[in-house]
Amino acid sequence: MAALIEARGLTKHFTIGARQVVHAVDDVSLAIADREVVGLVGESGSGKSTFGRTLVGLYEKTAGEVLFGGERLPAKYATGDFRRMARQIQMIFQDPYSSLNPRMTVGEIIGEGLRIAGDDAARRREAVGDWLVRVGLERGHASRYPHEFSGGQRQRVGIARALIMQPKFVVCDEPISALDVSVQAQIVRLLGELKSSLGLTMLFIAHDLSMVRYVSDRMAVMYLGSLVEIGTADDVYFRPKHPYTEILVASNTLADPRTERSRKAVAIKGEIASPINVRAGCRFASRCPKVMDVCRSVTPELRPVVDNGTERRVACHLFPAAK
Amino acid sequence: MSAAEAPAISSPVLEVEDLHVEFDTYGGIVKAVRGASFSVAKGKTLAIVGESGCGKSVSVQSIMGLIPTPPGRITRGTALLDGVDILRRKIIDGRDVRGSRIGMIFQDPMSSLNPTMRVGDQIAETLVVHRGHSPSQAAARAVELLVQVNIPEAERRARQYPFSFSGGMLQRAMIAMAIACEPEILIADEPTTALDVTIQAQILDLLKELQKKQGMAIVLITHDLGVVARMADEVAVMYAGEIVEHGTADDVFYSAAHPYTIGLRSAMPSRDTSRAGLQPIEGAPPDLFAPPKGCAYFARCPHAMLLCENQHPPAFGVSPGHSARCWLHHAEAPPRAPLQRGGKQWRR
Repeated sequence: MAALIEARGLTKHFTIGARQVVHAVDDVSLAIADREVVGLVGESGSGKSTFGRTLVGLYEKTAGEVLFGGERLPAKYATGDFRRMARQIQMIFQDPYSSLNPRMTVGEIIGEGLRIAGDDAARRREAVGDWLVRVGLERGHASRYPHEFSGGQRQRVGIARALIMQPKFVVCDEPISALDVSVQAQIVRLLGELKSSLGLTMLFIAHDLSMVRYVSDRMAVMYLGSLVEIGTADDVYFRPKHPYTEILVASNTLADPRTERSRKAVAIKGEIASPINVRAGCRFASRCPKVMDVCRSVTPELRPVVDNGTERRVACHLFPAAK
Repeated sequence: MSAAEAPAISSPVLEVEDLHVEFDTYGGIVKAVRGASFSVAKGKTLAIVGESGCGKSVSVQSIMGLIPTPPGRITRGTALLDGVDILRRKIIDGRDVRGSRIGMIFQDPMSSLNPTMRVGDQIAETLVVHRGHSPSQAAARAVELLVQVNIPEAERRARQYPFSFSGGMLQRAMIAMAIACEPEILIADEPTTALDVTIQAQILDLLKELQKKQGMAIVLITHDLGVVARMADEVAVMYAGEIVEHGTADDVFYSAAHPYTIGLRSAMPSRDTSRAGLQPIEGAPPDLFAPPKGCAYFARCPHAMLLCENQHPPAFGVSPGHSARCWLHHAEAPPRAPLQRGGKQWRR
């Protein structure tokens, strides 16, 4: 399958003073096929949002490259690049409260992309109205301001804002984390319908494993800036291989008291380490229950492992590379 | 719900009856809690579960006297701690019950601790105020408490300020503070919502361990059904200021009786491989400026009947210790299809 978008060795470092470097994303390679949904999970500070933002050009790349439909995207976007790529790549943000300009009407917010692209006012009004209806709001809502809407409705506005440009690829950065359970399902269903009707390709970033498994074809797990495991969503969720994924899955509470009662205390020791000036070796070594000597000195590479024929890659010394 | 319907496991340490809380706002009076009753027994965990704005936090805040008055006020109800109504009286035997007999931890540990005070001193303060410890005694005890909540290098950490702690560590410090006086009841208001899943698992395990050791009753406020399943003995489901379903965890999870509870379950992805579709609850909770005359869930309920719009449903007993505020459980309710989950697939 040809990849629609591919990150090769994508790296994003932030310099925070004299010789202090935050390794937010380190050498991440990920190819997403046309119409595929890849879920990206990890704890806060794992670099999953930074990866998404670097992928779409919101951050300048420190190293590595992003290919979109075979074309190499610039390391640092100029204004013209954003204008050009807005028709291809869009992003839906986590916080529907702070990601909408409170001084613009919802119609202006949704229509802004088209305005910059040069569409005239009548066409814009028509398109904005259509999209409001499409995301489950009303045409009349265009003249209202974001504060007049609930969180779920604002997220619908954020979705309309992104998809009105008819992009091929959308990064959804924790699109449901700020919402109530019943509203989460509404938004997930809306995204699913729009995905099918528009043929979207998605990177779905979230920390809710059950939801990610539900929406994704493949699931990728990040820890301290590196990908540690990637495979089909069900494989990673039900048969995790990397010790970190195992713990992440085991920490995920389920709405099932019988399962929860029979569960032993699984809590992992310690907390995510600092991504500042990381050293060689596996980044999970300090917390890993299965740590070996080699883990502290040699950085494991993400490589294919034997797994009943399905594609799975794991960055862990425990697993021998597949032939 | 009457006390007789509450599961009789052992006698409750805290019994809340018919709690009503209102707030004056520019838009009018918000009836945030409308007749909530619940109780919790020694060594047990009651989870109050519901979505934003359902009144779950306001309920426990009013018990702790944390509702700013005005604009808020408790208009009716009692909260009995050993027979004394603590809604009206916070000082028993010359001691404030809050912090000594009832401890509380909050959702956002970052903003709940004093940023200008060392963590150890904040914990010690509780002991000086409630237990009359000397400052040095209290400081030593604070370090012991930090050890008890598994904070490494407790002595050094006690001298640090909150900004040097991570979110998970701060929540541990908050727990240390809340249990300092060995309270009979610990109220945990969304204790893990701001934390990552791995840290959440640590905190939940810690709460369980402390409960076992000290025999505390825990009132856990959360919106996360996974956390409920992990922690709760009993569950109260809240919607629009009312408790709509109440029972043991097994009752509420495996024989849910209120359509809202069933709706919540179907709105979450389950573990089964078949990927049964998510079924969102359409619409939004009612406006609490003017709560509906009948059932609060009427407008969103797939099983709504004519009666539901105008007649407020009482809590019907479904089985011993399990009740639901739903007309479907009236003895003369019409036969109906079983309450089930179902829905559309994400795709395909």
